[in-house]
Amino acid sequence: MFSGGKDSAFALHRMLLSGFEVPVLLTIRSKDPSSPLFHTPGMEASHLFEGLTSIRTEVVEGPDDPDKEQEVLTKAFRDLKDRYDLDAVCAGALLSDFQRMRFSEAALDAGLICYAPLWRKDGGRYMEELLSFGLDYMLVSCSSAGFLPEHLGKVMDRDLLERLMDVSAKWGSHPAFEGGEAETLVLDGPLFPRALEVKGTVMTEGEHNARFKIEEAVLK
Amino acid sequence: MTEPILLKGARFVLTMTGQGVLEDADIRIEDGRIAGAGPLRKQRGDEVVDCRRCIILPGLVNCHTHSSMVALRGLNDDAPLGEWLKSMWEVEGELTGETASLASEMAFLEMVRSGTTSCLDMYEAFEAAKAADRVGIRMSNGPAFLSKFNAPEKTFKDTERFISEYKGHGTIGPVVNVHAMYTNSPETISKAAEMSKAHDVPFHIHCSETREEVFECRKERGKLPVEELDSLGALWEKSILVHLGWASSWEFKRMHERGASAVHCPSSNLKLGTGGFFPMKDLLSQGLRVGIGTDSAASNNSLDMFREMKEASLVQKGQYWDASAVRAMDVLKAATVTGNSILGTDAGRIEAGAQADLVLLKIDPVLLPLRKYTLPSALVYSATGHLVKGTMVGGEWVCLDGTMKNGKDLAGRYEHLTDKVQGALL
Repeated sequence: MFSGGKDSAFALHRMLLSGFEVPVLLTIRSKDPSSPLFHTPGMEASHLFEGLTSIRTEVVEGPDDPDKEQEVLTKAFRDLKDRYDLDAVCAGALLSDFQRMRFSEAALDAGLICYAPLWRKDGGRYMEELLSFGLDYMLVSCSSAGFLPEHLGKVMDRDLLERLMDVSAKWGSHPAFEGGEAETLVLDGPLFPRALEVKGTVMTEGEHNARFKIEEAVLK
Repeated sequence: MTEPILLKGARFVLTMTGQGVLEDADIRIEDGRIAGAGPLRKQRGDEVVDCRRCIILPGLVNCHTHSSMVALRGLNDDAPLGEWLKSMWEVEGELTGETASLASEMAFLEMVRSGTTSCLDMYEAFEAAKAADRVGIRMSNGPAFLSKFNAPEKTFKDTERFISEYKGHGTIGPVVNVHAMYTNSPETISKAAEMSKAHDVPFHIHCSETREEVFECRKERGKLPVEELDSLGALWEKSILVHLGWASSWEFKRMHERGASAVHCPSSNLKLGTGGFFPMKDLLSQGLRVGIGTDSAASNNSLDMFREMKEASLVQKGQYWDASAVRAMDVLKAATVTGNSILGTDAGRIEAGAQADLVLLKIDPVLLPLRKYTLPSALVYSATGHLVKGTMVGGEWVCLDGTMKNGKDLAGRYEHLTDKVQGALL
């Protein structure tokens, strides 16, 4: 499963580096901006995920009724299993049991194993790992105390990470944003043949709420 | 009343109390309990045991096993879970009566020989109790509710009988054993839980071991397994839930609110490839009581708690990417202090007044160099049950230098039992 966020991108790298063959990525474009199951920001660039990763990417539209999201997921798993002869799916779930359990149930119903290679990793260590691993990503939305519009739209680096770790320490937010504090978009990864370049504007929507509106996205 | 025993000159004593590790220390045992630990003088009538070049630690508690299944060790190993389970059910049907008792005795001998002083068992309770008495190990058990093999009405009667026979017994403790939610009706589970509360005995159940079991429960009963157990009244301070690799964070929270305990069986989960993950690090930090179990010799295939402690710690380090996720002392505590607390035994620490459930371990080259502060890690990461010289339960040696409590040779008895059990199952 590939949402374009840091977690699914890193989970994909972990699976590839563990010797798994990944024939297809599944991106679900949820219509519910507050979907607890799927990541929604950054979907403006979803048509470029296949070019970024060089892996066939199937983009599936989410249902109008948010309660039917798991149903759509199960159907997509079944469809991809048949078409690509899959044995398993991989999810980037880190701490959300809601996600892990729903993904697992959908996979079970489709006759697939569901791997979650990032499950319960320590948030702070994980963020350090992403940086040292060389995954480039940026924040595309935030909705929690301590986050500032200026944190958005910038490639994560040591300086920004330290500032965000301070936010986490001060406000008690999850260091890897598992509480929904922020959403990310991956721009490049060590195993990706190309990189994503995006231009946009930071839109402030409240005291601690902001989003990065993507105006242009291209592959480099 | 037996003579007091003085364990003299142990190089190290791991107390599992605020006293930490004692060096060159002695332990006196009177009337089955520890009378003191530290530098002690021999008193008239003391039976002195030379413990130089030895380590003494509290006996280990195996919080989940099926003793009689030792007879099935190696059967269909490496088969996929569904196929493996099917083959177990087929042979288990034959594992009854005297054969089950002898097989349980094999398991208990293996346990005491490797430092286990107490275990929580499931299946063939009456036969296992006879075997536990012969060996001298502490055992908690009870007839298992498993509708595939027994009508619940019969199991209720048998459980009542087991409780009345063994409640108050020194080393055998009754338990209400419910195999699992998917093998019993909600009514049976609810009534079994009531029974455990009425008799104030533990309620022991396999739970959320596989993904299939968890989502089948959600589809059929509209709740995840721990939530469903709670709604059936089966989640209370004496509930012991085993495996839980597929339980959600909110289910663990519910267990904590109800005071229930969790048991981790890492080798069995890995060997059977059940997937999921038991988040021991997080559960310990939340204050949930966590014990460790080997599960059966068919799914492990060892009953050595030293190996299991190591496995438990390593799995956590690997999954959390954190070498300090679950430390040597954490698993030692789970296998001693917490294990005894879960089973309601006043043991698991070396201090005056505690039950004398102890393990005497030889200082072998594989533990060296050994210092006071490296003792816990040496015990967890380097030791195995093969280094055990003696195991004491309630002040009685149940195994010392290869001899059983009745004075017979342990290895010879094990060989004899193996021949009889194999012969009966062929």
